[in-house]
Amino acid sequence: MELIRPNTNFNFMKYRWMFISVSLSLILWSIFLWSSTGASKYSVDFLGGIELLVQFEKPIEIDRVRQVVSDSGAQNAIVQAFKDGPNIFSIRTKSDASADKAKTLHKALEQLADGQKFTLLREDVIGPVIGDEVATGALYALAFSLLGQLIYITARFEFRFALGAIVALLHDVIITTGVYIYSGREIDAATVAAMLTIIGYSVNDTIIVFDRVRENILHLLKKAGKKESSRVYRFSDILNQSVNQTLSRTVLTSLTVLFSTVALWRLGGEGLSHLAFPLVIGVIVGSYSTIFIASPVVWMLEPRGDSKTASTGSQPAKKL
Amino acid sequence: MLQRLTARGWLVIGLTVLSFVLLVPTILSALGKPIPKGWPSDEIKLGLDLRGGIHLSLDVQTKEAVKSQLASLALGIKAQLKREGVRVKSARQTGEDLVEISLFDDSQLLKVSDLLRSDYPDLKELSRAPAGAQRISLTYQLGANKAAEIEKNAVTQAIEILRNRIDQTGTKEPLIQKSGERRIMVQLPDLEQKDIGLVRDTIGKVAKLEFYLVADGANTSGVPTKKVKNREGGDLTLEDQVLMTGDVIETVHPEPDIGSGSYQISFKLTATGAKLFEELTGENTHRRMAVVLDGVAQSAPEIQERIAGGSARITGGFGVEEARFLSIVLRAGALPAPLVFLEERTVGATLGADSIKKGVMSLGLSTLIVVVFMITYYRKAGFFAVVSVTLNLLFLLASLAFLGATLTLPGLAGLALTVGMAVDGNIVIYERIRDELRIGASARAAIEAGFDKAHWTILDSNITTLLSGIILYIFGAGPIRGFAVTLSIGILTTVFTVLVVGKMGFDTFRFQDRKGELSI
Repeated sequence: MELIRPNTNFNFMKYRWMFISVSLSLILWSIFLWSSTGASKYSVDFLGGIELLVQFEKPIEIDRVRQVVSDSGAQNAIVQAFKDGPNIFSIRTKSDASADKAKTLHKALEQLADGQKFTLLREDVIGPVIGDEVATGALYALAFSLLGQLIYITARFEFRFALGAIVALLHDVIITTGVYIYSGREIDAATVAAMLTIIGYSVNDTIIVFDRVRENILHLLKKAGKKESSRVYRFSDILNQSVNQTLSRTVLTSLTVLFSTVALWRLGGEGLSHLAFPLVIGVIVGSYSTIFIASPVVWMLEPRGDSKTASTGSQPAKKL
Repeated sequence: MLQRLTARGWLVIGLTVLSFVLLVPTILSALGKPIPKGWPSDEIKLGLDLRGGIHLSLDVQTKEAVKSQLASLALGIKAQLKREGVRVKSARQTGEDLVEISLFDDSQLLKVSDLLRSDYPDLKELSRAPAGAQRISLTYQLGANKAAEIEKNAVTQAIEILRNRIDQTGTKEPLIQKSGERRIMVQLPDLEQKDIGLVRDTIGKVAKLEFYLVADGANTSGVPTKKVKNREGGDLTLEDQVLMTGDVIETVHPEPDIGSGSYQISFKLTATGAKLFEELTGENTHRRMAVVLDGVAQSAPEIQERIAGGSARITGGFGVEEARFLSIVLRAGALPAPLVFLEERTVGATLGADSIKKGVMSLGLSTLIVVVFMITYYRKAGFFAVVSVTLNLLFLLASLAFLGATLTLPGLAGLALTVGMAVDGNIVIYERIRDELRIGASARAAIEAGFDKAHWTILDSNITTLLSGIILYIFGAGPIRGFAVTLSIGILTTVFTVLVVGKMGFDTFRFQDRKGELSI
């Protein structure tokens, strides 16, 4: 069975400006979303605060919950109903968190429950010190991750390939973040974990293509060693060819990971769904960037134009 | 179909058996049966987000520990000076790290300073109030090294006391450990909602018990006074000099206060404590002694007479729960320093169980979809890929059991991702084999070329994801770490199963379809 015909020959490079403009618009949209939402896009993980998930036995109007919460002293608390089950409410307040404040909130909610069963599903009380630490840790993690990928790919391929991969990576992270914020979710530690996973995973795809590019170049250089020729190949042709050849495996590998993550997202329950959603977006965007963005970027970074005698990273350059 | 079992094949079989051995505890505990002692691995622990429980990060206010110790030291100095025949007005802790000794006159100044120099080498004289004045006071400062030592010990001590207290509450499998220079991490699994409040209070209460004299018009020896809050409301003025602390308590238990319907805390003092108490009550008969717990006066009864025998009690109209709680914390001893709650995360047991159920279900479904796809798309080779992914998960879980790692909710996501990525590796190899077949290679040549050429691609892609996993582990905390661990180990097992088990499969079995061609 074949999902993608083995001899596709779509000219990705020719239409690159179309793909790049789509990407640029999405990136600009994401950056706009990021800057126009303030601190509210971060969860209590980073800002500190109290987050409660409670379930009442019998239905209660959300406004009564809001009233009780604000009466107990928690200013600017956000109360939301949860779709996951009946009578579940999430209450978030991002001001000074203290064990006492949480206690007061508890008591107030218990009073509201007024005798019926009141279950505390989850509670997070995060002080500002921890919030800062988590935020700093997240930034360092992202920075080191990107740096690490850059170094590794440069070692295995060549610097301009590494740049191409990093550009595709940043593209993926920015657009995934944009979609994530658009969906109304808050950025927390799990989101950062998902981003780091996407960073690692998105490079996978891209490496599959670059590997093929290197192999094709080597193959052609070897063949050309047998006869005289000043122009060995056109770089854009090689890139096109490589993307086409690896199309089936980039699509299929992304598809299988997509199966896993979509199942988690739709069926995994609150916690897993939350982690899986950015992964789903990341895999899709990552596929797109591998096929349509990574290679054009590498081509545009090519210093010697289209005719090629360039080297391929770990192999010495061959002049013809 | 079976060609030959290569060395690789034996290796794979060996590892499979080993994995089952390592997973025995997990299987047994899932079935509710006991684990045999001395087994090389433990059961895979579930994280708090799957089990339910409470996770706390506490900061030890070590500077307060220094102050406390100095206060005790001051008491000791006063007692010793008294034995040497020196009349001391007061000896108390002031400032951050100072002890101030006040004498009535300067006649024994030399004796005092000699004594302190010889017996208390950690204290260095800082200043003296002018000679010839009505009161002479010497101020001593604690050496920096000693202070640092006290701060370090405070953390260790706090951990021990917390352990003692939590054991008394009956929580099973508590985890209490140092996390950073001044931080303590506490994890209490399987906590019921109604017990959360008690446990939190048990951890947070310093339980510093101090005995003071109530300041009244007469009898003040010029000692400065301080106001403390009274338990029933209002303030109480005390002479700011600690006469006795809670470390003289030997045993403590709640007792019903017959006649008032409430409870009291009754305790027996140690031998030294009994003597001290006898002395204090003898010297201060008809004055009121205030019992102060964490800065709040619980009661301040009048001392009727000298009390020997070393028993005492605090009456304060306590409720039964409160009396029980206070007994727990007093029994374990006062915390050397107050603890600040930096972070508190609670997951209810219902949510935990729910998460496990949904997590396992979605994991199962995602694996099923992938299995169906592989078999449909790659036929017999696809079927073997499924076998290798199964072994992959087996090795992964066995590694977790061997390392004593904890499985968290994001860790389940890590398992799902591992399945997805393992299949990726197989896809890359199989597509390459298909490529080779298409250009006319024989089955054997295609297989060799496929594995050979795809070899580096697979290593590259997995190493990059591993890099992310390691960074996540370094900078992540709690459940996220669980995700990083499952993901990272999953990558290692994936590389092994895709390359080694995969190759072994093709070497050992002939995946042929009816036409005799490679079923891929």
